[in-house]
Amino acid sequence: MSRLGSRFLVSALMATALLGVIVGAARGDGDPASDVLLAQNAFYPYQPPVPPKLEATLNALLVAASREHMPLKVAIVGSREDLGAVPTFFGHPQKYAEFLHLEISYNQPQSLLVVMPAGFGLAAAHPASALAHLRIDTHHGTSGLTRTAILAVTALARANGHTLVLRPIPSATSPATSAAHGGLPTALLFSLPVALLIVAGIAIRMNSRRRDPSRRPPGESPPA
Amino acid sequence: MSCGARVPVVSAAHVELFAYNRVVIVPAGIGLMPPLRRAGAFVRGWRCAYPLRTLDPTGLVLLGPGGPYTLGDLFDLWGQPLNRTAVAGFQAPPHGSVSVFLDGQPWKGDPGRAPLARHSQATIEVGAPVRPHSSYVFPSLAWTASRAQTHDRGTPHRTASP
Repeated sequence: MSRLGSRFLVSALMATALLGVIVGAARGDGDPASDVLLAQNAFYPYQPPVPPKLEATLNALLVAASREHMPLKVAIVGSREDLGAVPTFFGHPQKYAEFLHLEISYNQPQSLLVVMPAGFGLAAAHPASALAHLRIDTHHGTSGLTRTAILAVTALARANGHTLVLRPIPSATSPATSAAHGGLPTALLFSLPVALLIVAGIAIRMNSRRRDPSRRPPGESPPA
Repeated sequence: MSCGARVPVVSAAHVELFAYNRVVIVPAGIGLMPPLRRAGAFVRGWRCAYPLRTLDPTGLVLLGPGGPYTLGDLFDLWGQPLNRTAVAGFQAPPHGSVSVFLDGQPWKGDPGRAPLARHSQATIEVGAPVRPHSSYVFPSLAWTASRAQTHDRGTPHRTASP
């Protein structure tokens, strides 16, 4: 039961044009990345959300890579729920890369990088040795995976003779990250104790002024 | 169904559509009233939302309170036909028909009446058989609910019919 077929491709495309929807590859569907990557260069995990600054950095990098004639799609898979109907690929980045590559390459071969906690997967992108020195950051959740993806794209570009201008990569523990996950920004965390000390100091000073009469040296009269 | 500024999401279903051995994308923006604010493949802002809606092109359909909902409801909001002989502009071949599978099992009734319930995995096919998926790992309700509230705040609340 093949899912590939082109007999009706022309009519399907015509119908699709009328509908305004995209007809993608027919090998499968059901994994969110296969649909999202038709419209953008990177697929990000659902949960927890990747901080916008990290997303923007990777998006900009992929645009720069495309300008260097090295178009690349990136799928970052943080958990089984990022795989929808094909969760068994979780933990198998290379197999998923080959599967996803077939789904998104209906029009032309599409270079693809998959990043999972278990490792990298590559399809129509080389060389794999460029990623050998990279370790997947599994300590910072989806932010760590995205940072790893940024480094991997840079490494692949360098191995192919391209030097991409890389913005500073936002830290996985940057304020943006903390705020995005519902915590307090780091700057606030550091400044809060200082502010509390200052307030406490002022309160003590005011309190001591109120007590001035009892602490005033004997014989000194209070102000009028 | 009415369109509201704050229609909560209580669950989700997944819909796949195949026509003549090709994947047909169920687009982002079904059940959302323009003006839409798009970011890449996603819809991030809208004027008001119906209880059935899609925020991305993955086939993930967010379900609001109420119901029961059907595939026909979804296609009505999309503005596309769904019956035994046609789906989203694709006609069934002679002697063929539109097939629907729910959680991998064939649905014998009218395609439009197939229920779209919590965590349903619906596959619609026309023109050629495709092995339907029987299940789908859904993102958490917290995620879907958070995305569902990303509408354009401050815009007037209106009620409209599909």
